[in-house]
Amino acid sequence: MTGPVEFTSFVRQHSTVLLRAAYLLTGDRIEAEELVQDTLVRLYPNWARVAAAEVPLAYVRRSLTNNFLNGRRRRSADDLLFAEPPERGYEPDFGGRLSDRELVRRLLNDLPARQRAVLVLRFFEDLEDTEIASIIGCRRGTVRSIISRGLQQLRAETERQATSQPRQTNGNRR
Amino acid sequence: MNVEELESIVRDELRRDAANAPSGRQLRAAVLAAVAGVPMTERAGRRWAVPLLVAAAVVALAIAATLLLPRALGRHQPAHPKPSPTPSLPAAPYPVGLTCGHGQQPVSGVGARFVDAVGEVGYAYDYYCAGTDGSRTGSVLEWFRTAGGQLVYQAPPLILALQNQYVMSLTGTDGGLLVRAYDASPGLAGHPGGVVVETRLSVDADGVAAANGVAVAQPCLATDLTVGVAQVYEPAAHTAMQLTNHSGKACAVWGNPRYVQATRNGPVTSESVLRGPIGGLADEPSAPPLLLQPGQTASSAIGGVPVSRCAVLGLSAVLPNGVRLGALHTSACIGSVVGYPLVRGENGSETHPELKAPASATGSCLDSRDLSFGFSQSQSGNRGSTTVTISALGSESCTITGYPDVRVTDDHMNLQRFPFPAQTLRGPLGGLSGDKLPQLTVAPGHPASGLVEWSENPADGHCDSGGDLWLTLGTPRAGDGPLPSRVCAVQVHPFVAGSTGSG
Repeated sequence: MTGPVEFTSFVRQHSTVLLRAAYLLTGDRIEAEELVQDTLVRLYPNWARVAAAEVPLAYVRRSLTNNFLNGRRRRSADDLLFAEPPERGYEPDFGGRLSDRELVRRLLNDLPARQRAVLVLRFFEDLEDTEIASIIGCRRGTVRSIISRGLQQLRAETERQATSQPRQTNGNRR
Repeated sequence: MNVEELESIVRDELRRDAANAPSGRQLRAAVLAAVAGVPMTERAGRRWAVPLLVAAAVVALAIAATLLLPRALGRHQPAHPKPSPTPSLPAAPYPVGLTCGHGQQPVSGVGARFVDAVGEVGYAYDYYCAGTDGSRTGSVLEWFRTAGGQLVYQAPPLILALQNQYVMSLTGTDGGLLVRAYDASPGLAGHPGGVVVETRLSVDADGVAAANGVAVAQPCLATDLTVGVAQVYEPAAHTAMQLTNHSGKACAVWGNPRYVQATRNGPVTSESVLRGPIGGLADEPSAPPLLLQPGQTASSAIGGVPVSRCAVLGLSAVLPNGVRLGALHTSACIGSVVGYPLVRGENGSETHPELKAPASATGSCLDSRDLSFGFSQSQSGNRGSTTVTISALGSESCTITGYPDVRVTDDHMNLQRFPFPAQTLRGPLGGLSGDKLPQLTVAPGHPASGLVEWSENPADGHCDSGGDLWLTLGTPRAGDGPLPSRVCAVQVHPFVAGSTGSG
């Protein structure tokens, strides 16, 4: 699996799953496409190295995640600046109480890139701590710590919103 | 909410959110287009390391033997001997009066047989030194007579080494030679260099006499040239800058154009190569000067290191003699520009000239960029078809008549024509109902479409490898119509009104 044919075949077979992972990382359809395209195009010249990996898809996923994290570091230099942050892909809240699920989704979108990447790798890709550690480039303990802190943060935020939102809603009714 | 519930929600929400990801259809085409023409690095695994080292040693020994043995045997040959320009011309001997600097090697260029004023035969050869980067010295023109079946060097040389004088051609004349040379020296008063001069040399028993040189062509200026950027397909899909001499007189170009970033939104680096995966020179160690007669075209392939963000790339091109060709606008997915030398033809490749499309469509739609392309497939038993639809993107309309020019990607992602496509009015799955090719107008709400059909049964006709089907329509092109791995008896039907490919 080393030539252009194999590359084409890989792209055909795995582009959808890579796009899903990229979309979860970036939270944006266009950014997700760019991320996957950039990753594959960068890997293409050295595809033999990818093909030699035990699981080529895992290799590409790792590269995708690294690209995402590196890209986030470069964003300040590359991207246009907005006066207001661009809208995220969740439905607007018109003052009603958000369900726990909606709240979690919103909070997931707002997590820092590294934390979000770890949660995606754990809960979407179902990867073990060691695999996540090798992708992110940290120790296993760090992965556990990031997941634990991420979940704690989500839970704390969910509870905080749960207690504050009814008050806001009441306030609006006044 | 406990941790297990939260984990479950996170898992569910991520999966639900993933369903909103794009389908990947466009992505696939974009990725494959971005890597077209990009070479892959062959990386051997560790288990091959020892055999490769042995192979490398054998190759090194072979190269050393090739280079050193002829000298040891007294058969001196230039490092890059070229095939004789004419069958009757002996191979160029090793140059006698040429000394190359460090990192350069002697090269034999053109040669010619001539008869001098007293009727004796002589042989003239052009030599120069070339660097590995394509740089070169001026020409030395040495000449020889035959004695005992050997070429014997004659002193002095016909032309001593002159800086920036590159011999383009040698022609035997009555009593001597006509030498055409490109003078790369900078012109006077800020004019660009690149005059082509012809000099008549008379050779007799007393020696060599040179007449005054006559300028037969000036360097091509921007005002002499029509500058275009075209999508070309040989030897791999790429972009090429095309320079066509639209003036009424011959003019000369030479070397690698320099591509300069003209807009902020583009690559930041550029490099020049002599040859590569998308074109360039055949085997010459330095680019040859080109004399463009009125109407003739030279081209330079533009390659690059691909990146994911495709943008309208603002480049301006400058010829080596300083002639500025102005801004080129091309859509590219490259992060740095790789410039190839100017060669004759349309696609920047000396070795793979662009093939002319078979009889295909005509009309203003070929030049329109405001078109979208659609591909839809259907299957009926062992027969399949792809309908190629073109629709107006903007408010303007265009015309089209004839057959779609369809191509298919090969194993290396290069676009190939079907070797045996039958252009037929109709086939089992559809096509034109009448017998006259319709003159179509593509306008908003009025698409045109052509049908490509095939069989999967080898008994029906010649079979070709499938791949991705692409439509070429003038300069723009589109793709993403996957075909089965093998298609037989391919038929292409003409454009008809509507989007069904039949009518």
